[in-house]
Amino acid sequence: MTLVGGLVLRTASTFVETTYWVEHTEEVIVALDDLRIVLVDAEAARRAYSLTGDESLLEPYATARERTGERQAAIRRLVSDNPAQVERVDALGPLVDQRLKYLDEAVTHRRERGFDLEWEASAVAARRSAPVRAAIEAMIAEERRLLAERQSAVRASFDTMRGVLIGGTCVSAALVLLAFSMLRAESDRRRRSEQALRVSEESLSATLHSIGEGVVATDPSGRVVLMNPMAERLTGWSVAEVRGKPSGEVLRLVDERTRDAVESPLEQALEQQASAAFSGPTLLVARDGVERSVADSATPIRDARGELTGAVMVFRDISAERAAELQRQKDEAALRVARDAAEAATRELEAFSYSVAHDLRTPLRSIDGFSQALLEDYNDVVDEDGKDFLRRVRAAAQRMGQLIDDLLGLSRVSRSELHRDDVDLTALAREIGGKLDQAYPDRVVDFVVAEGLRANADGRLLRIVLENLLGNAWKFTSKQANARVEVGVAEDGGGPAYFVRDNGAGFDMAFASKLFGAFQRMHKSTDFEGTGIGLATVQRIIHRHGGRLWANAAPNQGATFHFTL
Amino acid sequence: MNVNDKEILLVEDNEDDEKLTLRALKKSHIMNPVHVARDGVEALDYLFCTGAHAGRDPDRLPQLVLLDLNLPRLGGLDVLQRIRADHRTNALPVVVLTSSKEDEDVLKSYQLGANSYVRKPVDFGEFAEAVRHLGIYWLLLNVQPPIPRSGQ
Repeated sequence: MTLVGGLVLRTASTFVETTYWVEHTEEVIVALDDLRIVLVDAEAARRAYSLTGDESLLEPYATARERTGERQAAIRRLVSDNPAQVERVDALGPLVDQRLKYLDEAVTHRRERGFDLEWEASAVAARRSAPVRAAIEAMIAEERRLLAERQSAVRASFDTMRGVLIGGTCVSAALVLLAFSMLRAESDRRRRSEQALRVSEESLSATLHSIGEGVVATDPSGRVVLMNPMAERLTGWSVAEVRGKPSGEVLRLVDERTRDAVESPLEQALEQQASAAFSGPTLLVARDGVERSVADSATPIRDARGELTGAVMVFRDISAERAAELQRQKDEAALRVARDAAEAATRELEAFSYSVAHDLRTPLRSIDGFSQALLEDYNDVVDEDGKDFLRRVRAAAQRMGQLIDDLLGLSRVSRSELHRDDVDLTALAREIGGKLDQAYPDRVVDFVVAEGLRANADGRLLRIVLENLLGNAWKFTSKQANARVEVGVAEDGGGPAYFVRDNGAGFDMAFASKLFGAFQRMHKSTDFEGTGIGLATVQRIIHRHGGRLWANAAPNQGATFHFTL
Repeated sequence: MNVNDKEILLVEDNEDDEKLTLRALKKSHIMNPVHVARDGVEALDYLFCTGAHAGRDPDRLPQLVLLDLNLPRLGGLDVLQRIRADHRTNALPVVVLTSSKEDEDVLKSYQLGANSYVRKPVDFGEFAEAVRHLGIYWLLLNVQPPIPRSGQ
């Protein structure tokens, strides 16, 4: 473009120069013509005077000398740049003087001699005018030649300019087209990215408007640049009011407990150039003084080059959660108090149990021991009735000892902690069955335990359960010729229900409600001995596991006890 | 030295239990002399020849201690701890003989170095049987630790 412009400029300046020279040439020609006309007019005036003798007709002749001088000076000035023409002007001067001298002679001749036809007719005058005319015409011719030359130069220059212009225009047009297409591509690209940006901004804006979290963004100096509607609602300030203000003026944060001002995570994020969050429960004090528990985090924002451009904080009203949390803490404290009280009561109970175990059993031992001593040492003195009474005293003492032991067992079951573990129920049942076989060697019991019974339970307590259930099964099948005891598992509403089944005495389901109460017995003690605490203990253990215990039975048709854990 | 010369220290506050224990020993033909201490302090005085037993020969240690846990003044577990802490008595066989069957009592007794833990049954027949077993084991079968000389 610069090149084309330069060409055009140069062509144009040539054109302007050439035009000047055309005008100049014409000026020179006009001036030469003027000179010629002055001389012709002067000759015409002389001839008119010669014919009429009227002196008044000589005026053009009288001023001719002066006027030719002016014209010659003008011509000299005009052609001063052209040495060839200057030479011609110099040569023209004597010729003009010669002509003027001839005119002077002719006028003088007429005045002195009157009209002289012979003189007039002589070619002298004509001859004498010819050199001037020839010189002027030569100059004009030269000027015309120069003009033609200059005009053709102008034309050439004009053609060049036109060519240059046309070429330049073409090049320019091409360049313009190229530039246009580039601009257009650029603008398309820009429009597309602007559109993408707009879409992204719109979705960002929609997100910012709709999310339940307050969002505040600042510039690197911590001045607010953006707040979403939730942030406006939580702080009580509109973004228009606070834009450009330090974030600390908008986000007034205090520690929930101490009520000391808390540095906003925004400031921390900017200072430390790292994400930040509150360390403890924090309250946001809104413009109207309303306090809300908030949870938040802030993070510095960096541009593509990693320069810090600001920070953004996201915060959430957790008043409800916080209230629930505080309530929960209060409940927990109350629970702790209750638990402490319960534990104190349990400790008291333990002390009591210990005392029962030690102190109640000691006199029983004396009752039993000395009754036995009487029977042994005074065998000859005491008669059979007396011996029977002493045996009853001993039996009662031993039974009371058993009752105390069972009650202590029941209380221990309630006190001890539950330790759940994977328990091999099959192995446990077989072990207990083996012990029962040893304890009652005269009994023959068909004992069947399902393979692979496992339970997640407290092994120690589960052992007590099986000891009681299997002990009962052994006991209540004692009058059965073909005693059979079975341990297995059935489905109960998706979970396993373990069972212990016997074909023994069974019981009437009408009394099933009494089955699991302490000291409740379904049979006369003369038929089956027992304290009536075993099933109460079993039920307590099952309940401690969160399970259920139930029984199915009929008199003389056996009983089945189911339990879940 | 006759086996029967070996003394048993019975630490028991209950007179009935004392009588029944002695009766059970007699019925099992264990004729060793038995010294009875009524509480924990008395038991330690006897073992270490202090207080009321200041004049006793400290080299004459009992062969076996039958120790009740629930005792006046100083409890059985404290007595056991003192016995095990002293070089003169730390190898002395101590059998805890008590009414309690509490897991905690059993565990603590063994942790403190009891050689055995026997619960007194209510049934005298069972009690007598238990005492007989104890006597046979600790007085006849068990090899005693050498008695440390005083001043060692």
